[in-house]
Amino acid sequence: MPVTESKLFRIQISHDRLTATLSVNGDSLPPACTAGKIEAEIQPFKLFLNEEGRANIIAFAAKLAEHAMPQPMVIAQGDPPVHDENGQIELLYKTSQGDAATGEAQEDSPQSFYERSNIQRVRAGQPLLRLIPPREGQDGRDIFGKPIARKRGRQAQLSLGANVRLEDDVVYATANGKLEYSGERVSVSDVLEIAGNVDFSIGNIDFDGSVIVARNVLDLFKIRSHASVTVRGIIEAAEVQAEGDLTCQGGMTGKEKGLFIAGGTIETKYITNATVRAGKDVVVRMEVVNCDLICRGALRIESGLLVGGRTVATGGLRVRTLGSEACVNTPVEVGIDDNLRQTYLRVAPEIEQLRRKAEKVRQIVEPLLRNQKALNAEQKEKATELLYNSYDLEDRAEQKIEQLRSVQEESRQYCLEEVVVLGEVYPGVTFRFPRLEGIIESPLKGPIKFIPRKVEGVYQIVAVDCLSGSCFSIHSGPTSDTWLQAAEALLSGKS
Amino acid sequence: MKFLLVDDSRTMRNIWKKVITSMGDNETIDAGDGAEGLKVFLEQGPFDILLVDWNMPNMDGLTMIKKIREADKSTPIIMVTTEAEKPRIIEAIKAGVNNYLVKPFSPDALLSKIQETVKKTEAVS
Repeated sequence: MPVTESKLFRIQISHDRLTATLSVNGDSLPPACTAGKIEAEIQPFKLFLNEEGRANIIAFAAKLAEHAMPQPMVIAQGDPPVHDENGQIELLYKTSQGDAATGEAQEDSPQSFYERSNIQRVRAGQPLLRLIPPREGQDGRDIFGKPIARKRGRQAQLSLGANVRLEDDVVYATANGKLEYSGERVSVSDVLEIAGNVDFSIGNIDFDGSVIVARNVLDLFKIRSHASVTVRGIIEAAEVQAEGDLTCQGGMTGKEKGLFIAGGTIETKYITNATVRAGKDVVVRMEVVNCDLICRGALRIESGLLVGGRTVATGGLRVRTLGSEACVNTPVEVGIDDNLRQTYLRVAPEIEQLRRKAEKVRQIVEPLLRNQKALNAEQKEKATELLYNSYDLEDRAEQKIEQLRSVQEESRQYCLEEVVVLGEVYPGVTFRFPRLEGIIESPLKGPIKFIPRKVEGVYQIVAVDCLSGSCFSIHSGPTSDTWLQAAEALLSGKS
Repeated sequence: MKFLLVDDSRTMRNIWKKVITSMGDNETIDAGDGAEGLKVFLEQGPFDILLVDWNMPNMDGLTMIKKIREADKSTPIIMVTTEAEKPRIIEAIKAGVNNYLVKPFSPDALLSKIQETVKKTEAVS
């Protein structure tokens, strides 16, 4: 500690120059002197004395006047600097577990462990982070009255990646996606890449962009994507829904619980015991076994097997082996649009009900219209209402017919009434075309094509040998499922 | 087109509105009696066509039409009413009604009445 001495006194100065302590120089008691004299004695040291320091000098002088050795006394004190606080980043988003900034749990946070997703989803326009500027401190002052500079605060460091923008110190997402924030860099990714399995460490996924899973999707987990889903491993008894394509490089093992839905194409190695829905084609390299499979495009298993389950392939079927030697029941519908069927089954009873109601109203209003002169004003008003109601009901029925018509027109571009078997087809296989159904009664060798064709004035299912061009009819007849005829009658106004 | 619909029955006004909107992208403003109809006509006009009931509280449709015709001779008016007697129809036409539809009527009848009135107005202008 630096020391400054006069003849009688010594001043000890702290290293930080914030404290000066007065004591007697040497062991012997100096002659009594007044506070003024002490101040004059230490004046060359140019200490910045405040009221408290002066009071201590008076106390020090009083001790000397009593011929007592005074204890060292602090006679000058500086003000320590208050350093700036560095800038900070405030988190403005909420995690699935709760508030990201406070760590407080959300009251409605999901209880299922499957639902506890660790993926931070954000929406375009959502505020993500706020940059808080450094908070200013205050410079200090030493015992000589000289300023002590405070440490300056640093701005929070944040670099902006893709799909974010900075406005008025707030970072906003500019796209829907996954928030990636490392503390120094923030971005929003429209592709979600899972490095391992979709399991309890990841939780269920509901994502706006594409999802890529490097390994497997385990039992009972769910993935939903508004774009495509790609799984490099296998999908087990999970629920995977993609508005775009669904690609699974391993296979899909549904275990009776798997649900695989794609708005686009599904492409994989195999599918077993699962429910499968595709807006376009389903392309499988090895086999489809015991699946409830409906695709609006074609089902193609050109080097593999289709056996069991129920298959509806609107755009036709192309397969190496169809059915099995064990004659497993394998119903196949082709050229039939399940979407049209479902729409018809839904709207037909509604149309029927609306028409029945309209007819009932008409039966009430018609006698009134025949006797208009006998009606009073109120009855005339009521008759107008009833008349309008019957028109309105018929109009609503007509709208539903139009809805069905637009689905029918759309389905025409998908439908292909054709089954091509490249290898073998076995008994147990049944075909259903829009107006015909038939069965395979004995094994047949391919390449062979099954199509509906008029033979001697009668529609039948015909097997065409793709190599020789020869053809023969298989056991077939009009389909027992007559919804399509009923739908066509409805659309043509015949029912 | 911009329609003013004046009838004390909300149901009837809704029926008119549905028929008018089925014709295309039309604007409708409605009033529940003749006094309100007159106020709306003066404050929120001009309108392309008026549909007016006869019997209403506060001010009946005929009085309202007479007052409108004092200031405006050209806006087409269709009277839609239960009054079916010939002298009443003549009275309405004298007051300035362009077309007349007797209740009960079907939506199609209203539609063709409106179209007929529009066509006549276009031919005159």
